[in-house]
Amino acid sequence: MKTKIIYIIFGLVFTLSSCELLNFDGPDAQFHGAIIDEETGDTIPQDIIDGSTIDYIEQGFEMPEIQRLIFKVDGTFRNNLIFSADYKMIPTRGNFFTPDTLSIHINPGDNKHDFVVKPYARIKDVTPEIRALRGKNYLVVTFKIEQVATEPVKSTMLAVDKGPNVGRRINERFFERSINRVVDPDANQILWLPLENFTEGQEYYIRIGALMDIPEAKYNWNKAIKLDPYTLPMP
Amino acid sequence: MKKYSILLIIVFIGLFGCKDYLDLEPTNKISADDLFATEEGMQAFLANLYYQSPIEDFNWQAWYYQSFNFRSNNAGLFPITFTDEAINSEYDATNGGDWQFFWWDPGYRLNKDINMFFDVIPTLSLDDDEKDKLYGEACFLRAYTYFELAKLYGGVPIITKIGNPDDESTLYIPRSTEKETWDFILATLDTAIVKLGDDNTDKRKANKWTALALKSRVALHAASVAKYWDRAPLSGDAVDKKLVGGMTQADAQRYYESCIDASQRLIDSKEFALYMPDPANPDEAAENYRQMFKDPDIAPEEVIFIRGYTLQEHGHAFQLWGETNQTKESWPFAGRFNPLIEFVDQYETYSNPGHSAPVITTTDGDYNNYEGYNSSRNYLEFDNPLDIFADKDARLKASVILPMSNWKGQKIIIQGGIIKTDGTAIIEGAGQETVDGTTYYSFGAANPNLYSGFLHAATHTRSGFLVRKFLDEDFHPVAIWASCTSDWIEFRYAEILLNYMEAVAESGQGDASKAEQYLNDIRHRAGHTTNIPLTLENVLRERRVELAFENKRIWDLIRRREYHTEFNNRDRHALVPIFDIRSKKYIFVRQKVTGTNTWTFPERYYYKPIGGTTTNKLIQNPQY
Repeated sequence: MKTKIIYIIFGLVFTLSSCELLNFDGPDAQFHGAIIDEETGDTIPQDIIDGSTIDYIEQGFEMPEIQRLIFKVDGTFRNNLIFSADYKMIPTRGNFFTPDTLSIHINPGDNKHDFVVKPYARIKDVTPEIRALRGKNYLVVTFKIEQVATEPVKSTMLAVDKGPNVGRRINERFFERSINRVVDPDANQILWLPLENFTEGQEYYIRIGALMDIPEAKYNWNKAIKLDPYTLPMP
Repeated sequence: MKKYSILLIIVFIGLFGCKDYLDLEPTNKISADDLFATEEGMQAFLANLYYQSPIEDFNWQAWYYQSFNFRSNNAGLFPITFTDEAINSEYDATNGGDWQFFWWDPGYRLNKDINMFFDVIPTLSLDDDEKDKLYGEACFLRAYTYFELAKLYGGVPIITKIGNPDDESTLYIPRSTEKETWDFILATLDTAIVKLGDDNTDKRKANKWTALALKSRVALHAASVAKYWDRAPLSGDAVDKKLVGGMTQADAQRYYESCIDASQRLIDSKEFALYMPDPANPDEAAENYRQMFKDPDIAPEEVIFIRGYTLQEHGHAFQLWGETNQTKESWPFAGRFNPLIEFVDQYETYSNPGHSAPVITTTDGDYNNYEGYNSSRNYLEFDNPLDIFADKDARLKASVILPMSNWKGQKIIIQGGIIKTDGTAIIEGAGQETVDGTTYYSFGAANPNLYSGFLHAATHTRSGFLVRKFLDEDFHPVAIWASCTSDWIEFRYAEILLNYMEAVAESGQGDASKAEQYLNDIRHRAGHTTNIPLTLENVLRERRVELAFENKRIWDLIRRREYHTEFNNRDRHALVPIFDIRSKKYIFVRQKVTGTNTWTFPERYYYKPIGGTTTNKLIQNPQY
């Protein structure tokens, strides 16, 4: 009887204490912030799918994997499950000039960091309106492009969706137009879509994008504009 | 005392237990020594290397799980349905998540087996001539393997010796640059060309001509990547170290020269020719062309290399998936390959040679309007729906089952709607109207077994077309996966001519007048009588229509870096035949394929991710 109890005690001691070393801590930090236009101080609107990314590498591994953060459409980002550690980070393959790689230390708990960069272009003075042309109603959007990069504008895009996350890959309808030249910042640009396939009474969000002719560049967008179903005359 | 005797027994066993008679050879496996001791064993091993080779045939699975010899249910997701050639009627293949090619492990396993074969050749008791041929065959297979790896991953580790587990330096071999990889493949093929024999009667094994054909294809691929990298440049560690990209325009010119040289040698040998080069009329041209793919054995002059199938269950499933709904008999899955109207548009007409001929459906001739049926537009009317394709290149009807054309002695009814006497249209929905005792059905017949289109069922085409190329009218579907045994042509003479003319048109090297001659030879075989000039546009259009559905388009889009511009928020389109009950004539509507979404090809897909980079210490491709 005595030996049995001793065995049981030994067994319990082993099973309860042995696995401690193998228990790794989970992600203990949150990391969030935004991508900011260095001149205007505004966030730079982004695409969710195939948009700009922040590449980050956790230091201290021989063959580290490159991890990636993506942006929300408003240019903010958030990762609530990240390990506290030293990282190398770089916002890249985006709609802005890639800055130098940053060394960032993530502390346990909340961490905020804004990346201040120079966008390739800014979309300004976006004005949607309805125009009739040859008996058909069109959504016509005029806007201006302020180029920061000196490369030509490759294309412009009008994207329309029922939600505010509208962009190059998330849209119900779009019109993409080849430009392939440097544009005058004061010149009115124009994009349009026929209204016939829009649903009456439905809310729509639109965004205007300009893509610069730079390798791996992403569209520069305006902030999504909500079209009010009551003011939009549907045919 | 008892304890001691147990101890003694243990000591006894310990001392005398390791007798040789306990080293048994497994009886269910053949050792390498035994295998290579006989000619038959060696041939069996070699046959297995061919089996593992990345031949992009009917059993090539390009999506989700890149693999070869895939013989079970793949949902009909053949490579043609990932391109602008066709769409799958059930699954919108191109929307299925990331582009994952998992050929890293199988590729390097095959490479290890080939390396083993290289090691064995000198030990065989054969005369030098035969050893040379085997060495050439091994070089051909090695080049084939690395060609697939280079297409998928760019620069890869070049491993030509079996690794030694005790020596890390033989195990962790870093990636070569993309350029070094292409050069290695071409050099390996040069050895194969020298060593291999020039007898081409056995179309299923490598010879000098298959090696030249492969070199022509490899060099064109490398040249295109070098020339067009800038259309979709990537960044990152792999790019900085030139593991992907990093080639110059001079490299492009050098690879085009290689392509021209290899193609020219094969052409000048006069060992090959186009099958039936002089048809009397387009109908005959169409039939000749169709017969060649139904049974490649009838065209030994054109066929360079075949992947053959003999046994049911070990064949392929192309016709099982491809058969029309009306002719599928008791087999449940059919009608999956739906060619797109924008692909059908590529075929020229005989009256306007040298230009693609979009199918015109309205009097205003606007073929870019895909908004669907609109009663205010004036549609062209046809008594016979096939008239809208009249005058089109013969290869169209040989490659595609057109609406209301014949297959297996039946009229294949592909109709998407009716316009009733009151002018209302029923399109892609069930409906009928009886006029003067005759009932007109929106899908062209009363019940789904009697028609083949637009029901929004997987067995019915959504695009208005089905694939005819490769189908055999004598084949009856049986309920066995992979029961089709029609052979696959991996290399044929026409492709070599097309490689040659593309290389000439792209690089300005080679003989432009010969290239133009070859272009018109192929067109002449298709029933054309007017010659057209050698331009890049003409060459590329000719390539698309001549090599339709032969699994070449997917690589053409990749190597020429056209995928991301062709598939940029792209819709795929259908041609919907509609019967107008008022006029008793057919009209056609160009519209988006119902139920599909746009698709975009992200630029990172030009290279696939390498697996296991945290343990194999290789540098990952960009953006993975």
